[in-house]
Amino acid sequence: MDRGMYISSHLLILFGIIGTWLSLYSNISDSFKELAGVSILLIVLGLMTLPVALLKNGPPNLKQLSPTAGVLIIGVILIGLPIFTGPPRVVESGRIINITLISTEWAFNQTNPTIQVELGDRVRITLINNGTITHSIEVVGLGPPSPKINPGENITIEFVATKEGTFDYICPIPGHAEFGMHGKFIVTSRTK
Amino acid sequence: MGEKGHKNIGKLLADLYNWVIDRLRRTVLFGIRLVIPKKLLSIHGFLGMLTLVTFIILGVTGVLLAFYYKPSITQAYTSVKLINNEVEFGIIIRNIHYHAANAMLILAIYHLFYQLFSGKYKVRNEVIWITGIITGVLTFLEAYTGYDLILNERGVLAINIGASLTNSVPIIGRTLASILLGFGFSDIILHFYIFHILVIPLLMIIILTIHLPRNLIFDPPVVAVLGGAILIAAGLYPVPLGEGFNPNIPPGITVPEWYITGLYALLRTGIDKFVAGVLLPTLFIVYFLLIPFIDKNKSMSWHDRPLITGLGIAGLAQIALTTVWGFYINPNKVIGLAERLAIDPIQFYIILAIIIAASIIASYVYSIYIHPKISQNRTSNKTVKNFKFTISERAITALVIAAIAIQVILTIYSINSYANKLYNISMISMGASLTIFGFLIHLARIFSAQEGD
Repeated sequence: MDRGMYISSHLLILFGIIGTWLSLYSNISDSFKELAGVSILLIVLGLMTLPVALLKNGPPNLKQLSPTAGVLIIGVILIGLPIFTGPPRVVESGRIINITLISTEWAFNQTNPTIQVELGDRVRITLINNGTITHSIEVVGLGPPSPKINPGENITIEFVATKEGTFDYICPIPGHAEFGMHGKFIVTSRTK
Repeated sequence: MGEKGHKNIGKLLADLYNWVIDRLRRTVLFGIRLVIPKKLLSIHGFLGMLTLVTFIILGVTGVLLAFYYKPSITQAYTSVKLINNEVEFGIIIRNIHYHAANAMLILAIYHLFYQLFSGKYKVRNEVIWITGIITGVLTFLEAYTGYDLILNERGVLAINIGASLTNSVPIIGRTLASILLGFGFSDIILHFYIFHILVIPLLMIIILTIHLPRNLIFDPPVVAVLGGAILIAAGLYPVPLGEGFNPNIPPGITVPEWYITGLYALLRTGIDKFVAGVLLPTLFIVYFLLIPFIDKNKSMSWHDRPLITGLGIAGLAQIALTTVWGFYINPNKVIGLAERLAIDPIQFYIILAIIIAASIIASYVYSIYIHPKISQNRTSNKTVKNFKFTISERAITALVIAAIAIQVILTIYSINSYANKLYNISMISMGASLTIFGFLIHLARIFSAQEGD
């Protein structure tokens, strides 16, 4: 076993696991998902240097292998477990809710109406931009933002309401939500 | 007749080879000694060579990308989109280029810290150390100018960071910015392109001639595995195109690439731009440049030099912390942009200071109290095992056949996946195939070593 390489390959894998966990599962910040590329490279490089470190001067004994096992178990728990224990999949209710929102400066449909749907509903929001500048639509926490559209254009986003609770629908272009382009999007439990 | 002909051709080729080698002896090439190790070595001995290999990979893929890239504000994004979606093998070349750049930076940082902890800068290696640090900074600038060229929202954010930092330099800032970046976006993209493909690589090659030691270790199996790692990472995470920059549409919230987020975190603390973005990183670099002159201890092992080791750990921890913190943006989308981006400077700098203090204390505690005990134990029950790894000839033959078979299957699978537009799977199986190729060369090495006995 090569001590220096042993330590550094474990560090590479550990940094990679933490980065991958942050990018895939943490709800701390959306922008952590950009960490994925380098984290995966760190894990792959670490895993590929590990055998060299372990086997350099003969097979390692069990005691030397225990940190390796620990790091790999941490990896499996952090990255693998959420796949199995994640939130249960919501069965679609079969209803399709069509909503049309018209964006102007600085509100949706003048008054930012509250939208209410039931758990499992498929929601289709069509945004028509009647304003004078670019707008977009996002239901924060339920789906990615739509592409930005110019005045006069329209766009449709579609998602399934998989979580109960009160969410914000906003124009994700910086500044627009603060100026008033945000309303409530409520997902209630299923009635039948 | 036929056999004789073969012999003649063989002799002719051998003569030609000897002739060429004999003439090459007159050149500078034979001043470098390229050592191909006869057994598996720790990669720490040749991390610099691996970095150089990724640099060469980047050069080759970069030239291929340059055939299709158009450095203009209107065509930059669409040309990269064309490379990614239409050009044959474009997506693979672009992903190799992206991940090799990441790998080069990771390996350069790894190389730096290994040399730091093992004290390799001591034995008349000061010049190599200093040129190494300069090459590292140039590598960072090369990566930075490279990923802006796509001109998506992430790239534009980085361009803005760079432009505002250049402008923030007192007195000469504006002149410097107009020389380096020109005026406006159409100039910047061309300037960055020329820096990326000509100026910085040229400087790197010139400085590398002073940096490279005379003995270079080149280990083909490890290089093959490194190539495999880049391809596998590319298959697992193909780099997205991002949203194209449109001057009429305000950008969404993005973060820059991972090697700039540290700088981005420093900038977002809201203290003076010049201090946070130029002075502090420069101090960091100057500290590394001065290490050989601060560290007068004769010992090369890390536990005999607790101060340098502690500062080294602090540097590594600071790089990790600022990098991850730079990715953090308050997810609450209803509050203002400035508020979302703000990092509390008191909290941030206190944590950085705590990291430095904790690393130095931990390093001193280890070298004074813990290390003597451990080494005592180790010397008392040290049993030197002379390990020899032998495989029977038959087993090696079976392994080689199995490895070649798996390699052939993976290559066919990779080509088939590419034809079916499954680029991810194609890249992963290509990477696996390359890794197995490395394993094969390693087996051949074991075999020839056993023959030698």
